[in-house]
Amino acid sequence: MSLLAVAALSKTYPVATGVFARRPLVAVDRASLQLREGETLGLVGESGSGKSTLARCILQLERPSGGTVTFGGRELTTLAGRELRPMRRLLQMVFQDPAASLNPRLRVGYTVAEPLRLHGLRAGPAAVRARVDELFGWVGLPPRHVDRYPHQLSGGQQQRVAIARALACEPRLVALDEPTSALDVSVQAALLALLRDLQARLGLAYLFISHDLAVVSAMARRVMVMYLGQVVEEGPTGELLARPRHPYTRALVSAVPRDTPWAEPARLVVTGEPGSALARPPGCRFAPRCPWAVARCRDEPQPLRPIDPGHAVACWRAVAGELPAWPA
Amino acid sequence: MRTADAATSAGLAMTLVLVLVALLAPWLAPYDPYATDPGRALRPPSAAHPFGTGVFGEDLFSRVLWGARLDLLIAAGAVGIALVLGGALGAVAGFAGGLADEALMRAMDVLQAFPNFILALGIAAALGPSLPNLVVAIALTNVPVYARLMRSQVLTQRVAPYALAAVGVGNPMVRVLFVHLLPNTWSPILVQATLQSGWAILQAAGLSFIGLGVRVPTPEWGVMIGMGVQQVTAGQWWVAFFPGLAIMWAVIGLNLLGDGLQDWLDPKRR
Amino acid sequence: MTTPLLQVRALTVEFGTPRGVARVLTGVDLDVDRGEVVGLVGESGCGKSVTALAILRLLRPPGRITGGSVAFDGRELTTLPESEMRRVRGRGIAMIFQAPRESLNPVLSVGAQLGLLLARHDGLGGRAATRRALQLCEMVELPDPERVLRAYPHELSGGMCQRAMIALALACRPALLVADEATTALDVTVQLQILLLLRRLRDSLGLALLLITHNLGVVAEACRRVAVMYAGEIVETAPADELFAAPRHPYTRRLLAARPRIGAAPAGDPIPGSVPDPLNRPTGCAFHPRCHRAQSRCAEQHPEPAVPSAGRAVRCHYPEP
Repeated sequence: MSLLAVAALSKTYPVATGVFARRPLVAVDRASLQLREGETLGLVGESGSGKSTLARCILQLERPSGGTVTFGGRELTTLAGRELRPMRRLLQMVFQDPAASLNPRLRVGYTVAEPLRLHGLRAGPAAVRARVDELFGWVGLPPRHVDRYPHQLSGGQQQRVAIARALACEPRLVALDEPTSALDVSVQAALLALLRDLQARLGLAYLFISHDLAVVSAMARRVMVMYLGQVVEEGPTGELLARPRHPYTRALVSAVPRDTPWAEPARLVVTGEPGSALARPPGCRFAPRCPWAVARCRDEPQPLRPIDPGHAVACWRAVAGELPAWPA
Repeated sequence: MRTADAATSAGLAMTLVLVLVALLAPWLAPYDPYATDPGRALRPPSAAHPFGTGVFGEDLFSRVLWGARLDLLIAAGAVGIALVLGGALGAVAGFAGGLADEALMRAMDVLQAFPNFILALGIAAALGPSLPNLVVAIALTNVPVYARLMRSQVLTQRVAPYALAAVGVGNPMVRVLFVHLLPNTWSPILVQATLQSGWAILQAAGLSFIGLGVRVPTPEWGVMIGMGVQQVTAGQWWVAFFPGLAIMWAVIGLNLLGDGLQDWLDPKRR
Repeated sequence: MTTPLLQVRALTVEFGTPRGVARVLTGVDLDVDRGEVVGLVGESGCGKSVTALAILRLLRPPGRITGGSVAFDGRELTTLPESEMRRVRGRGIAMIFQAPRESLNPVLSVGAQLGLLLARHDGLGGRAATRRALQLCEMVELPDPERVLRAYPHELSGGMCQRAMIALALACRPALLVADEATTALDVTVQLQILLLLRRLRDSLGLALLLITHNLGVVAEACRRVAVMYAGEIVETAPADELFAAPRHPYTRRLLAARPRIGAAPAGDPIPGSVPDPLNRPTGCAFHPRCHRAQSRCAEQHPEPAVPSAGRAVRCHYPEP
């Protein structure tokens, strides 16, 4: 039984393109995913891929334009404010910019204590304070930081506070939106280790969003690749990185800077950049940049099709075996 | 001390002097501001009358001191009302969005379509010259500024990650607005209010000068300048000069303070 | 042996703060040969951007160069009068920055900005300037050059803005290009495109590159030699191959170990502690409080660069074997 089941989730924004004209910007185009208790799903893509929007829609921080989000058996998209609020506690998010995700006018202890009071998880100031101290300990922050303001902490420490706040809610799912992108490499390593540790102890499910494949590979056993709002490939991380099937996944894997100067990674360098999500051909959105695209790719919608057990691709040519082997 | 700090300290000092004078005027003023002494009319500044005497022999020093009370009261009242009313309208517009936002902002547009002083003039003329009406007139003309400021602040802060996090953690909308958003919005508004207090004093003085605010013989700086204007050509410069100086002191002090307040209110300084 | 194109020796930079004087650079030694790609690697706060700004004398008060020398093509830059320095910037050394859209003038079209530059440095105008502008666009592989020249920065994507910035930087044919985190803000596929472009430009123009980055992958991808920076000084210099194969300085070793690698789980806390406050530097070696190999000598004596082999330098009393 999955903890989280997302079916055909879409999010469209009306964008003003003229004085009266509005065109739809499809940020997420019918994305589906499933997540079990204690599992980590990696969500990978570049800017404009819709990965952050997808996470926000799942958590109902933004309301999806279409599709369903079933969490713990309940359908979240139909819940209104009062019913939704107690559910919110179970799905938490850690944001990319730790400084911006903490209220600059509140002491970090207060920020972490707030969910405890909101959801009645601890009664009385003494119990609240004890729990805050405990949470700080879990995330590796010394107790004296409880009375500090966010700007008095380093980026890594701020992110730990954000994690403590999420944990205070006793969630079952934590969405991590590029949690370490804004941090130095050494700080990043420590934080990722902390996240893995917490997952093992608390049985949390993670939705781990990143543009960095190396980071995702260290954290998630399954990964989903998105491009301009569409899910293009989904499968076991190791498999996907060693033998990427979708042309975009190949380009993404290629683009990871090499490990050592003498490594000779297989490369697919694509030209241009992700186009606008406004002008949309009905088919695969990567087609304009794909070296193997043909008319059918552009004209026909490309749903995810299984290619191997547990591995699906949104590319008919890949499924049909028409693409060259990789690495060449 | 850095130049900016020195300027802010100067502003604070000047404003404090202003407030103290306003509070302590009854004890500091040597004469009753309404007392007249026709025999001693139009005397230049002297030991007995540091600012000289006016057309009716009234002591100008006392009147300037008492004027501080009135003008500060008018400024505080007008800015306070504008801030609260404008801030509320702006917060509603920014938070609710949609039709409410459009409607409110168009109403603000209408108010702002008139030149500020002309509008105040019109309202004051319609209501009639008196102290409360003066405050109302000045307040109304300043409402749009605060409404827009608050609205843009709310719009910006609403999509800040910490606001999203506050929603995500389970805060009801009311708490998000009052506990998270508003404390992060009022800093620039407070700065604006301080700067505008100076302007409000000028407006009050201006309206009273042309007779649409408080009337003679109330000790208000604008009225006093009005009374002294004719005397200037006759060589009795002091009648209009000292109230003008007082206005200058107040406006400069408030402006310097307002400029420095922005940095001072930044939580990152703690 | 020819003298390096850029030779930085013992460069020190101080910043005056209300809490005292912060020594942000404490003696930086750096060489870049003609046509060479050198990487300057370090985490935030180590002073790498300040180094770049100091080389180009773009530091603003309260920061100032308080010692050392920067020799470019035989000339000493730290003592040049500003009017002379202006001729070096752009013609001798050019710089590109991290956030390309913010580094371009938002109210001028790309073509206008190029035009200003060409007019000022080369005296080109009218059709000659347009021809050169198109040539530059082609050189940086900008698609649809005519449209790009007419466009404003906000109308272009991040990658195109970065290419435009490279075009501006190369307009006056500098010998050295300093790239300060030039690919950090870009998508990873675009980052690769830009790195490959820079390599091609080096090959075709003989351009020397100083790539400043915190990303070791970028260094592995593009650099021939690497300098690792920590707390305002260079702690290790080596050819890239040797640095990755056998890092000698403990910080370098730990930094390489901290990288998330595809397939490998991240290490625990690879470098405990945090970067020192420039107002409160540790005695002796700046890294010793966090170093797994530190001994008493490290707290007392500041290490000078040792040269274990040709082309390598390490500032450490007890380097890794």
